[in-house]
Amino acid sequence: MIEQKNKWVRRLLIGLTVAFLGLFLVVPLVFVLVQAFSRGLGVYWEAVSDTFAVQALVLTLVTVFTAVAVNTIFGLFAAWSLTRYRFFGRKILNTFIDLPLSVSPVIAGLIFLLTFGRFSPIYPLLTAAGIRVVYAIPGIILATIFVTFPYVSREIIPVLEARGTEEEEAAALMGAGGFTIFRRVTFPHIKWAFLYGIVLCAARALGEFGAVSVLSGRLRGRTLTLPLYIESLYQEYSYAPAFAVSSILVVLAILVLIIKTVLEYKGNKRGDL
Amino acid sequence: MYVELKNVVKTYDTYRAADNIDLAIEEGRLVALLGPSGSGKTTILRMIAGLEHQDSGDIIIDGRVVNDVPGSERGIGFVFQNYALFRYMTVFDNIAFGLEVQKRDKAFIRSRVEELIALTDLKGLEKRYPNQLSGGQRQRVAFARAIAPSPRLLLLDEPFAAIDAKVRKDLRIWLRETISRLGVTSIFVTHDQEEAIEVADEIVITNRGHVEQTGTPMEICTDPKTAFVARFIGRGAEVSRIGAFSGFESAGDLCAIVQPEFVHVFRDGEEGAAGGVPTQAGVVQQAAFRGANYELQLTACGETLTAFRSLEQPAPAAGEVVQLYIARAKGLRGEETVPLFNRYLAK
Repeated sequence: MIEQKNKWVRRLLIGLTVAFLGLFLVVPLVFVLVQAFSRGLGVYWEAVSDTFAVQALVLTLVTVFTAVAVNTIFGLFAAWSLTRYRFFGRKILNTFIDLPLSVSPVIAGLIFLLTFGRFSPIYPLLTAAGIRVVYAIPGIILATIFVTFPYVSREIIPVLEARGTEEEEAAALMGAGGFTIFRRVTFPHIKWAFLYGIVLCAARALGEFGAVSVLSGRLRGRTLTLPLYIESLYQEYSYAPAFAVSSILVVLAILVLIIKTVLEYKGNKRGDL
Repeated sequence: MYVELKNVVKTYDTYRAADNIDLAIEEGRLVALLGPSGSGKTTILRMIAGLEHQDSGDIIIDGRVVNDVPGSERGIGFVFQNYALFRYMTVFDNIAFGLEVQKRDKAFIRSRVEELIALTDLKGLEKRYPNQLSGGQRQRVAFARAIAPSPRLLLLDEPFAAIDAKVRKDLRIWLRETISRLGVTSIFVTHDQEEAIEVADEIVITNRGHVEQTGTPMEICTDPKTAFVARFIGRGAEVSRIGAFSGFESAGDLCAIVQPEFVHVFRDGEEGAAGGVPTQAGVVQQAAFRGANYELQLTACGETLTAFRSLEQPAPAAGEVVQLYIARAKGLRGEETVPLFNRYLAK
């Protein structure tokens, strides 16, 4: 009797999950592709190979690459400091790292606008040095770094914490230096979590809209990333090109998803994630 | 003296983990640091290794004050409680690690590791990773890794704690024999007195951050010098007035520890075996089978005693009245102990 009931509950839950995912994920994705090709391959190719589209793609990739590189290095440092040293304010810092996850990206953008914009006390200094942050590429990169900061460190911290410090102590007692310890003892352990964090960070950076939108200035061909370019096309009622360019992001997202799945599979096999 | 600690103090916040520790260990000895948890034994070991730094006092290894010498330059090998094997390295690479960071040449490393693999009976497991080994094998890898760079002092933190009981027994004997063959001065931490007695040449008993007594296992067991050691070692029962028992009348109101091996119990009709030593009545409260013998809980003269009885003799039942005498006890006078003997046996 219970078996029978469970069977129905099981079917119902699986059915609901599939229906929900289909309605909210698969159908929209299919619509994006249908819309992208709705006016034929010619229009699609024209939209995708448009100079502005290519420039937006390049800017997006540069931004993603820089943000990921910076956050990888600092994320590693942050994770190391927070798990390996005991210092005053450690817990507060640990909480602080998550701030970008809880703050709305628009606010993140505004923070940088206030810090580096016209009303900031350091604005004259920046202008004198010939540096433009706001409404320029540096602003876009800064906003993206801010928004994606927690991803790498958040993946590594639990792994480092769970493992304790004994292996490192053992290596240090045998006379190994800091770098040797990191390379031979610590890194092999966090490798998969680390790569996973990088992938998540890249995925998030790729799609960032809110913070970048505040700081971009929206100069087509100069400060428009792919998500912003898509939005501006859409605002101009160029639906087919908007969806065509969206399909680039969709392909990139699927690529990231595949890498993520492979990493998860490999990490699980070693029991690290 | 090979290892010496002089007035060593270590405080964590308000807790004194080491309170004026004085300790001297001779070269070539196998020494156990034995004490209840929180008694400071692991702190002592970690300070000798340089993993913790004392607040004050000196640590001397091989005639050299090592207070400011990093652990890696103290000539020690360390076996961690959970072994801390490098889990992304094979057995071979684990053992070779210490030699590699010393930049020894490849041929030397290979021959040294092979020698240690033979010594620790790990042949055929060289390419395994730590998670593919049993507890006993892991311990032997940790041991081989610690002695690979030929340390003059070997430190082991609870080396048998993570191994199941059956394997533990064999490993103790193996470790004892291997260490004595290598002749390396060794200090290990344990909370298990049976282990300390079986393995060590010398036992250091720690309690609340200080050393209570140092001596051979025999000295510690038969002649505890402080009230703490008398209570801690063995399975003795505390008697509030030893003078109530026959043969100890002169001790009067002294409180004492009576070890079960010194309580002789006779059932009805067995009194002849007492050999003329006066006995007195007691009541069996509980008789438990303990594998090698029976353990009896008895009451006599209003006190509770523990006694052992051989499996060859019939077991008394709970509630049975028996005759008993005590052969010897440890009187407690403040922190001091006084050896007490049954005066009828002394003759």
